[in-house]
Amino acid sequence: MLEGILQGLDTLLDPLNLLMVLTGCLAGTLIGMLPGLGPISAIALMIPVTYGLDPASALILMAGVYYGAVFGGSTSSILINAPGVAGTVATTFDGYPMARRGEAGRALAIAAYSSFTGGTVAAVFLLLAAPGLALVSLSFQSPEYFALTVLGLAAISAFAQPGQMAKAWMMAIVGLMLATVGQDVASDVPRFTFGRVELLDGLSFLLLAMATFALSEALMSVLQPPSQEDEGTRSRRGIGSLRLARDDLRQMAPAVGRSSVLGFFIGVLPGAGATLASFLAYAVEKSLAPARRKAEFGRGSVAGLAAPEAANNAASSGSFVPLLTLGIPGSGTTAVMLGALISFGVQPGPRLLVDRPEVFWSVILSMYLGNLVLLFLNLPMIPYLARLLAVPSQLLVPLILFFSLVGVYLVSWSALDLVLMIAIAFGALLLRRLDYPMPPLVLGFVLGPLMEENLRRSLILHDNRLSFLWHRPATATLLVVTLGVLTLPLWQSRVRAQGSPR
Amino acid sequence: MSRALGAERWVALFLLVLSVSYGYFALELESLTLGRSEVLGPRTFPLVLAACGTLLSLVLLLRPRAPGATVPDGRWRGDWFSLVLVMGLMALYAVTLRPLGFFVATWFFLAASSWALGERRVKVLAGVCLAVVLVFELTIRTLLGLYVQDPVWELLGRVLSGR
Repeated sequence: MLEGILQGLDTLLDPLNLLMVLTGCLAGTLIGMLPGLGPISAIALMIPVTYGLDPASALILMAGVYYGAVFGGSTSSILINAPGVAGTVATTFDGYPMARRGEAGRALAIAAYSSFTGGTVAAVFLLLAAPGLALVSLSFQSPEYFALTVLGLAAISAFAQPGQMAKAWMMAIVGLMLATVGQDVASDVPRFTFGRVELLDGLSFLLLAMATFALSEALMSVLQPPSQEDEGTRSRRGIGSLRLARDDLRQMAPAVGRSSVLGFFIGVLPGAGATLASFLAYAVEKSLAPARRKAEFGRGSVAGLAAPEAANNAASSGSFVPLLTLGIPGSGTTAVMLGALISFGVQPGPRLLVDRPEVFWSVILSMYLGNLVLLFLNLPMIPYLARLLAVPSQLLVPLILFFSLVGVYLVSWSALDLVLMIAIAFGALLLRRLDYPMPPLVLGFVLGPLMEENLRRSLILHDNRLSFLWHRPATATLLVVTLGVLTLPLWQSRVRAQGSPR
Repeated sequence: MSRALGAERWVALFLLVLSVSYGYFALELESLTLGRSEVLGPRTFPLVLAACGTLLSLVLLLRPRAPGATVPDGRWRGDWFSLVLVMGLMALYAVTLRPLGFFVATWFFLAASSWALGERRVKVLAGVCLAVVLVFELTIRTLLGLYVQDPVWELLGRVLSGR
């Protein structure tokens, strides 16, 4: 393992990769600060940039953009009560009230230190746990992989939209359907191509990701522009000092410690991510707080701000675990990363540790570096970065639209692709208005080929019988867990029915 | 309120039609020939998906609205005019990229969309957008090493180098 760490360090310290960390964190922060664009969009926008790079650099860049975006999302949550990112909604609960009191600087500092700690703790866990998990997963075979892909889809559908599991599942199925377009790998039969040669390779993942996230979110802000009040608030308010008092640190420490661990483990679970982690951490800290502190929650409590911040960063790092070790993305964001990696010809999974250790380790190590960069570089730059929020949306939105379109054009050189993107983005906008979540769609699209391939292999290995589903203990366990996840809403309503009235 | 409810049913209907036609086209796929026993051929997975999709969209179409569930107000409120305008501009951009060249097409797109969204200062429309296009084209050509078809750029190049 030490050898691997050294190898990863060697790769990371390459000047290009160091530049990638810096660029990723900075770009991610900028993009994350813009309300409406989240980590998924940020990463999708970066994919065209990564096409000229080798896989390690590309993954490092994308990882940097990921935390950068989460960090940037906190900034706009605190400054203008407009979470740039779903995982930072919980940050607004106590961050914004603090900012309104003129203590925005203090809030930003608390958020930064908590995020740093959360991310670092998670990176340590990742460093220790990942190789072990990777080795265990080497014993996974096709049936387990099939069950795992089913679990991943089930989990993301269950968590994506509480109470709307049917819609989430429908999106996952649409994603799976889209994935079948193209030439079937096993039999070379063209499927759903309607005779068009361009479709033989299937639908472009980049196009789908950009259209359903970056472009549709930008279109959303054209349809419903951010309110005038927010724009005025941005320019008026000062930031205040970035210093923290000792008492602040004392309050933060236990909250951050607990939330980091909680966040990591939630992040590891497929389907759950930064959003769930941040809400849970907030709830936990609130219930654990002594009476005099409890009243502060929602009004500018230090712990109330520190907890979700630590948790969402820890969860972001945690979500890399299934991606790097099993090759199964646990969230929409990591699904996009997986899609990008596959287009580089790198197959994440247990073989990654063995075949391309420099990719595996350098990504993990880049997390440490990324956290440091975010803390030392970004925090002092916040006042300047905040100026970005003052750019009027009439200019900003066309720029975002332009980035999305050009990103795809530079890869495919097809005007038809751009028109297709516009159509898909519009469809995505309509679907989102109706509460159909997009992450299951992307996950379905990315997992589709894996699912079909593993099912095929499992059937071949077991004489075309479905018995493999229950003959192998690991597979059976995974499927039982899947069933549990699918019936989660039933458990929840039962608990609610029996619970005491509030 | 009932308008939004109608929209939900329409989308569910659309998804139903999608699933059914997907299944139809899946049936048309050639299966592996020579009578080999085929458990998982090219059409198996799609057929399963079509079945699930049909089932789910039927559920979404026909399920009764949960009691007490309200449709958020203002769901469909918004600046649809600007949205359609911007979408039209994007389509125009896609179509004019090759004939007009990157420089002109992008400049026009940025300026026109900013204008569509409310920007009226001519200096900004002309100046800032121009600057952005210049920076971009430079980056794309030098840093990324890609070649974008652009007669204006070529012209600029010739003029600047005095040819």
